[in-house]
Amino acid sequence: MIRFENVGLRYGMGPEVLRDLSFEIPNGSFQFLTGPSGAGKTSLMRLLFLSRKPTRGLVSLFDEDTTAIPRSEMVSIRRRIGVVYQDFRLLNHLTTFENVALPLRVAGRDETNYRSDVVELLKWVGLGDRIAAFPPVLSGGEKQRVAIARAVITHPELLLADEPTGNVDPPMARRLLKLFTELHRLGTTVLIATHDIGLMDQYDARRMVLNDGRIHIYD
Amino acid sequence: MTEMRTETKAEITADHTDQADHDDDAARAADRELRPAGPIVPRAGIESRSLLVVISIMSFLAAITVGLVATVWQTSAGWEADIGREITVQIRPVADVDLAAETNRVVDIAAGYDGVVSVRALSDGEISELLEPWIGDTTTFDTLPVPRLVIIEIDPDRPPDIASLTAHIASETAGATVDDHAVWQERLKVMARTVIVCGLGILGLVLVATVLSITYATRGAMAANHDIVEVLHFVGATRRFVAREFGGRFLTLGLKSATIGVGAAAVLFLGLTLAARQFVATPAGVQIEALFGNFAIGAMGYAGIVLLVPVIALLTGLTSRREVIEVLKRLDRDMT
Repeated sequence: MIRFENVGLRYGMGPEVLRDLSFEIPNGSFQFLTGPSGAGKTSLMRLLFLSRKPTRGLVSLFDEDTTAIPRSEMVSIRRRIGVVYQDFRLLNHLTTFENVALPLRVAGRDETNYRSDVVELLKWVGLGDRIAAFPPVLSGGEKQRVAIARAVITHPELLLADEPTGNVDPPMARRLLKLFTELHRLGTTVLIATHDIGLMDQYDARRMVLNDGRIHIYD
Repeated sequence: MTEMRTETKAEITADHTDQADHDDDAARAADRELRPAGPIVPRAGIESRSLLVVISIMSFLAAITVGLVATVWQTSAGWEADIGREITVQIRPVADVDLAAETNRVVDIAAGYDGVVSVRALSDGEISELLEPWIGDTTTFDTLPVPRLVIIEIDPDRPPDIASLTAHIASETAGATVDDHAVWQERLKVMARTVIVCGLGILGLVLVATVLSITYATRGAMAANHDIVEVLHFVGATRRFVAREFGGRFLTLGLKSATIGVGAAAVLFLGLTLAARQFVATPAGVQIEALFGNFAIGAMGYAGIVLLVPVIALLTGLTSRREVIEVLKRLDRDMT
C-alpha cells in the first residue's frame, strides 16, 4: 500500500529532516511510528497525507507515485485517507455531528443517507450526548474523539493519526487505542505516530522508530 | 498478539455496554435536537461590516452614474424631439418684393404639405421680442430690414418631405430659406452621446473598483478562514466545492450590499424628483428643468439601477469564486 524508497525531505535550504527512508507498509497492517521529539514523525506523516512532496526518492501510495499523481486525482486519493491531526482541526462553527459528517458532506452525500451512520459512530465513541455541541465547549478528550470519528466516518483504506493521544489522560488514551484496533480489524491500514511508549506497550504491533531522520523497523 | 486482540475486544465490549444504554437515550434526544446542516463557511467570517459598506458605496455610486446617464439621455431626447417638431422659414427682405406677400405665400405652400400640423407667421410683436435683447425695444419695421419668420409644426411620426418643401419654397418665393434644425439636432446628439459615454466610462471604473475591492476582501477572508480551507482540502473537498461555498457567501453579501447602495440611490432620485416638483412653477424650477428636464430618471433609469443589484451581486460572487480557486491552486502548489 505504501512504499518509500530512499526518501529524503528538507524544508527550503535547511538540513534534511528525513534521510534515505526505505520501507513498506502492507495493506491492512497496524503500526506505530515513534521516536523522540524532532525526529521527523510529523514530517513523515505530511508526506503520507500528501501535505508535502519528498525532496528526493520515491513515495508510493496506493501503488501510485505521489509526485506523479495528477492534480485531478488528488481529491479521490485524499478521500481514501483518514487523518487525525494532533491539534484536531475541528471547525468551531459546526456542531460535533457536522464536523464528523464533513467528509461525507463534501463528497456530495445527502444528509438523510448518512445521518444514522454519523449518530451511530458518535454513540460508539461515547459522544452520543454531545452530538449538537460545538467544539469550543468540548473537553480535549471529546475533541480528540470527534477528530477520530471524522477520520473514520468514510471507512478510509488508510488511517493516519498524529499523536492522537497526546492531549488525553491515560484511560482515555487506552480507550482511543481500542478504537484504532477495532478499525484495523475491519480492514483499515493504521499508522499511529506517537512518542508514548506506554500506549505502544498496550498493543502488539509493528514499530517504526525514527531517529535523527532515519528509520528502524521492529516487526 | 491474538490473545491481546481478544482481550482488547472484550474490554471494548464491556466498556461500550456500560455506556450504550445512556448513549442510546442521549443520541435519540440529540438526534431530535440536530439543526439543519450549518453553513460550512461561517457568515461572520465573510460579512465584515467594512466590506458591506464598501460594496454598498460602490453600488450607490454606480446607481447614481446610471441614473445621471438616464437623465441626460432622456433630456437630450426631449430636446431633440422639441427641435425636430418644428421647421423655421426665414424670409429676408428683398428689394422691390412685398415681404408680407412672400410670408403669406410660404404659409400657403407649407400648409399644403402632408405631415404639417400647423403653420404660422410670427407677428411683428413676437419678432420685436426676439430682437429686443440685441437692439432694444425701439425696433421699427419701417426703418430696419427685419426678416420675417414662419414656424411650421410637423408631425414627428409622419414628417413631410423636407427636401421637396425646401425646393418648393425656394422656387416660389424670393429670399426665403428653410431651417430644419438638423445642425442643432446633430450637435445635441454629439453632446448627449459624449455625456453618456463619459457616464458609462465612470460606471465601468466604479465596477472595476468594486471588483478590486472584492478581490482584496476575498483574499482577506480566505486568509482569515485558512483553517476551514485547509480542513476542507484534507477531507477531500474539490476546488469547485470550496469555491461554491465561499462564492455563495460572497454572492449573498453582494446582493445585500448592492440592495442597500442601489436602494439609497433610488430613494435619492425619488426625493429629487419630488423636490423638483415643489419648485416647478418658480424661476429656479424653470431654470433647473431647462437644464435637467424634470429630474425624473424615468422607468428606464429605475430599471437600469435595479439591474445593478444582480449585476453587482453576480460580480461579487464570480470575483470571489475566481479568487478562491486561485488560493486553492496556491495551496496545492505549496503542498504537493
